[in-house]
Amino acid sequence: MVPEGVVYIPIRLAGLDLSINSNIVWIFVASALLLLFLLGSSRKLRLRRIGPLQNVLEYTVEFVEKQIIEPAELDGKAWTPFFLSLFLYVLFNDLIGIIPGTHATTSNINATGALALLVFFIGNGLRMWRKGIGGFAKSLIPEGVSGPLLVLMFPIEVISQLLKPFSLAIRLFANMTGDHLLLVTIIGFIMLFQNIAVSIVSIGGAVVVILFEIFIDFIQAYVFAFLSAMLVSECLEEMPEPVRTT
Amino acid sequence: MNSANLFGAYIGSGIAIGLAALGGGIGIGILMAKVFESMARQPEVLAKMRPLMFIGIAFIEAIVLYALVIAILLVTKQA
Repeated sequence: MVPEGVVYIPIRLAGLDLSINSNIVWIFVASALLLLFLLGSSRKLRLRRIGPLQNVLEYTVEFVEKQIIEPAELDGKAWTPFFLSLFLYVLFNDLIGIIPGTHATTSNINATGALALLVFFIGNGLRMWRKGIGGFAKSLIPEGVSGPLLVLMFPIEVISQLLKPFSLAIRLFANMTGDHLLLVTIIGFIMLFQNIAVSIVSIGGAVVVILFEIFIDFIQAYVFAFLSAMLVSECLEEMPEPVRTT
Repeated sequence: MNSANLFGAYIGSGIAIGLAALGGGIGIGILMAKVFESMARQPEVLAKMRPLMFIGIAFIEAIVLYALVIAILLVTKQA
């Protein structure tokens, strides 16, 4: 759907195609911007009369703690760095799509699939590690069912657990690709009709679509992080304890 | 592909995204109607409700976008 991009450095490693193409270069750019933002805003932290960058950083961390970690009832001290990184990584990779001439790096199913698989393996790996293989199988059983209902519900439960990373990946990927396709279509009307009035309306529409796309970037980054937190919390299945964030 | 399959693919992709948009529009409309109604009754719960509203919208939009992916796959003749 969205073209793969120019391959800069072809790398083949044990039969896998790990070449650096333009999508990966933009992921590096987004990661560099993220590092710049985080390192630049956490230097010389002050208690009073804080500067604008530190304000933004504090707001972001508090947002992640209150809206992502607390609803999922996870241990804040352990999980806040991971979900903060995940949220900001997805956000910066989505927002790269604003730069003209490139598309959001998360509009590639491989990028979102990798993130979803990461969250899936972390959640289930921890569940398998803490409870053992037997306990892992036991924890897949939904509570309070037994007998023939169990035989019916166990495959459904397994399939629904396996489908969660898929839906995470496809949700983010399709949102980014769809927004970009909409923009391309609206600008394509100029080529199609070749009319002054259509061009003016088209460019106005394109501006509105870009603003909407920025809004959707924030929302989809939040939803990705929130649903990953729900997945991990469901995998760990701890008793709800108060969130220790200090 | 011969022309009969192409014809079916194009019609199928149009129907797919049309029905998905119909369902998604109704779903989001019901969700927002309930949000506005509860905001009118009790304005102070809006702050707690706003993240949940966005998550609801994202779930419904995800389903619509699954159908969009299928529609695009049909049009580009890969499914």
